[in-house]
Amino acid sequence: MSKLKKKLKEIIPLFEPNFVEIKELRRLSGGSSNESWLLVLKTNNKDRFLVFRRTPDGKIKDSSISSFIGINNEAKIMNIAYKYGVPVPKIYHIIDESYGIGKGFFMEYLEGLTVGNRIVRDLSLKDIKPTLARQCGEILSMIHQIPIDKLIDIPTSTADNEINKYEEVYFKHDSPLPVFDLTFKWLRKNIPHQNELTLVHGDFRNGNLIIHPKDGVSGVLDWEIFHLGDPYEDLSWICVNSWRYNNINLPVGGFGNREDMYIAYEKSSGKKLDRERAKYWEILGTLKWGIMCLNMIEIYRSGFDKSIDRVSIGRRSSETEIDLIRLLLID
Amino acid sequence: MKSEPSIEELLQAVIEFIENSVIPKLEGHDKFHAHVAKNTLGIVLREIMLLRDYDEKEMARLKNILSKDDNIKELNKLLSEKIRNGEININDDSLKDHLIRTTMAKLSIDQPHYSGYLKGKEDNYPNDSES
Repeated sequence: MSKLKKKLKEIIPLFEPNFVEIKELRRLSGGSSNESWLLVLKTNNKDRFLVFRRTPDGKIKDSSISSFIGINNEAKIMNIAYKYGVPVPKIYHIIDESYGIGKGFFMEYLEGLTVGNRIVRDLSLKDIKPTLARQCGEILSMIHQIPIDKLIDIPTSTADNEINKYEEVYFKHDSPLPVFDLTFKWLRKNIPHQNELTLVHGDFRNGNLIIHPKDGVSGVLDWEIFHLGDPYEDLSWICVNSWRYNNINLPVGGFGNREDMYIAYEKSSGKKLDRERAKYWEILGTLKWGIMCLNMIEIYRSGFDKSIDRVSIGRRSSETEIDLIRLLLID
Repeated sequence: MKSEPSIEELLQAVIEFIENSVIPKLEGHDKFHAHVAKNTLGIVLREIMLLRDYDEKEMARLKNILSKDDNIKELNKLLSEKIRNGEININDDSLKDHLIRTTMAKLSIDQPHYSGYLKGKEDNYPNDSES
């Protein structure tokens, strides 16, 4: 039996008194720094499905760009979001590194699709698809209304901070891309006045949402880069063309219309949205993804991850160049 | 030196081998990586076929915009600097034309099925590619 399985058998009875044995333990795809494992438990009642999410020992965060808040804080913010009605998996138990299997937490397994490309194309979602953008607007307004005095010790990052952070990575990569320079110049010139700070999920996009064929958006995942910032960051990140999975004409994640999301957000928050500001953040988001792709090359070259998908993703930075050209020079 | 079969033919044969004989036999993560490998060789093949022509055209435009002769990396570096210090700005038509052509060329190598590139072709962006 693997060490992981053995340790899990020690821990699970702490929150599942009816535990009998582990029927299945399988690594779920996705997640470049934190691992997610599906657990099927035999209990004295019926089988129970869980997800165990962890940062394995000795593994460092592979992207130095985002301010990484740590997996135990991720569990904490998910707990808070859950209390405020945001659809997130319920957290059952948090563990520290004392068990020797890294830090992590156990959460509810929610049914649905998570792979972005499938969400855009799978016919089982045909009926629910027209409501998804509206649901995204409502969920984001809930996240952004969580009182920030409930959140302690979390980093703040506004447009200005984001630009500086990504520019540093771009300079470090040391290979001039004039489209990116033009974008940095434009972003600095048009920087929006920062009025209110809210909780920002930070990676709210198709690929990090659980979509159920009947209920729609039933879970928001990957809270590991949440911070205080500009709410438009979340509203626009999901519209970055790379997250539309080639379905360019449906800007919200390749499945919905912008106005459906905005109107639902406005109704739920009572705040009028500034469409120009949303576009500003879409340009910034597009540039960020382009620079994340460049950073993949650095991660490959550092020897941290020598896989073919890691290195080849570097060539995806050019997709953001054509998107930036459309946003800045054509539209 | 001219060796045969050509590098294009060799690459094409490897791509077809991965597609027809390797991918169908694999599952899960290995299958995904084999797909990535096939697509990566596609980038290599397109770059071998297209890059020289693209680079010549890009060089000609850079020399014209910058009134300077140097290698392509240095010229791009200089263009980046001039954009940053405001000597050339976003409203400059020759800059726009250059950036659009250069980016369309890149995409025709890196990701010819990407939606942003296909939209560029559909909307008739200036384009050096012959396809």
